[in-house]
Amino acid sequence: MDLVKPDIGLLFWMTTCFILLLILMRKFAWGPILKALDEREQGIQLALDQAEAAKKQIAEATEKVTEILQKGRAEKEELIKATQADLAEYKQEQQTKINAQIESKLDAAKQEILQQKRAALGELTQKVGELSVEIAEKILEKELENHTQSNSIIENSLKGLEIK
Amino acid sequence: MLRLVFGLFLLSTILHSSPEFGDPSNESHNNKKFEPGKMIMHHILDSHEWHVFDWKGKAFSIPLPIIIYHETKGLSTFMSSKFNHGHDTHKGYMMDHGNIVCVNEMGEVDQNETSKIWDFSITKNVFSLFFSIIILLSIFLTISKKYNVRANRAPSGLQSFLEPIIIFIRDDIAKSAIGEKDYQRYLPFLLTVFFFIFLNNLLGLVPLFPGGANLTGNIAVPMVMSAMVFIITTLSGKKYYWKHIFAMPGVPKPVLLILTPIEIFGVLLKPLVLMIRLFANITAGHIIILSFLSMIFIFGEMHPAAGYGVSVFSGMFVLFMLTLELLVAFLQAYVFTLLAAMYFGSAVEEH
Repeated sequence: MDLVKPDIGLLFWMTTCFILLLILMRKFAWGPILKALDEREQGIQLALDQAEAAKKQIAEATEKVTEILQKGRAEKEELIKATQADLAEYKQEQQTKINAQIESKLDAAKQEILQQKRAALGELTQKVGELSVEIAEKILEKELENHTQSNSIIENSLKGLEIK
Repeated sequence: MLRLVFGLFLLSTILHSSPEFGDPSNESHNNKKFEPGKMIMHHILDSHEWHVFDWKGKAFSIPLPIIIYHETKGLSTFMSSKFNHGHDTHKGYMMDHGNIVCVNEMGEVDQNETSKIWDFSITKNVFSLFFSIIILLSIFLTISKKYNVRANRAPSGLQSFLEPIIIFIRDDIAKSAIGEKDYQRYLPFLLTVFFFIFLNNLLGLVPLFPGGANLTGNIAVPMVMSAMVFIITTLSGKKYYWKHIFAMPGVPKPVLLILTPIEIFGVLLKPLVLMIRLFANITAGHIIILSFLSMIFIFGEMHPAAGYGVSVFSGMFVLFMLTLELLVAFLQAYVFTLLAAMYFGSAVEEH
């Protein structure tokens, strides 16, 4: 048993036992342990990647949703605006139509009134003519009696007939 | 826990250090002076029996099996208790200062016959080797089973203590020193070497049976491991590695005449240094601790009061050293593994 001189016995046992230990550990311990560690690390990496991808997908989806919402809102507004414009136009149209009708009716009424007026005037003129003739007949009858008197009567009646 | 270990260590060392180790109670021996060198060497060297303690001058030791092959007498196996601590002869063999020697009929040591002995005994260190291997296998086989049973789940218990170390060796030693491509081939060896050295360094610090054997501080153990490192490095050496040894590129021919022998020497020197580093560090640690403890008895022989006085300081120093040795136990295992990985890395390097 020396300090720096190795003993053959310990050398022999160490060599055989260490090789045996190496083989056993490699097969039954390190193999499964390292494999499990690798698998776990890969699993963790995979999960992280998937989470990242899911996050990205969610972000994309949210973006899409907001986009759609925005588009919808814009469309709605546009639609409302268009409808309002249409409505205003329609109203305007109706108004002008109604106005035109009213005007035309008013015109027609005016025309009628004018016609009636004219007819009435014509009748009146005829009546006046007839009346004048009658008066004249009477005057003439009276003239024959009183010339000056008859003259003033004619003059008066004519004054009374002074209508446009 | 450390205090307990320390206490046990102190106790066992006090008991161990009775000067007449291996001798049964003997009046003349009781007056013998305390020899620290002898006590320390006895602790550091291998032995055929496991001395546990002395009680009233009588040594209590666990007998270990002796297996010897003699070139003419053949194989013989018996327990070391047959030698009666070096006092009796058995089958023509005798124990002389821890070595088994052949004796003739007159009871004298026969040097010629002794040289024919091949001692394959289960010594203290061999027993410790078996013990540590059993511990390693039971720990790691249990853990490896856990990885199957609890697949894809968080580690628990011992598994969660050892897993960071395994990952550390894989990522920071093997992967960084050998490279992503080849590290997996060498990983089982590196892991085994690391845990073997680490466990045995720690067991060497435990003062009582079945710890306390100076296994990693025995030159045979680092020798076998560094020889394996050398063989693996040499076998896995690629073109780039050999080219840098025999014909360093970019060096003029006359310089190569000097450089190549140095490089070849370096190839042998690397594992040699690996062996000596581990052996010397662990042995030195044991020697320092035992030296401090010896001081108690050296002073105690002068005067009992001096012994008690010194024991306070010695005890503190031993406590400090034991704590340091815990660090060294890890550090040396790490350094051995790292350097082995770097040698493998240089062998498989490609450009």
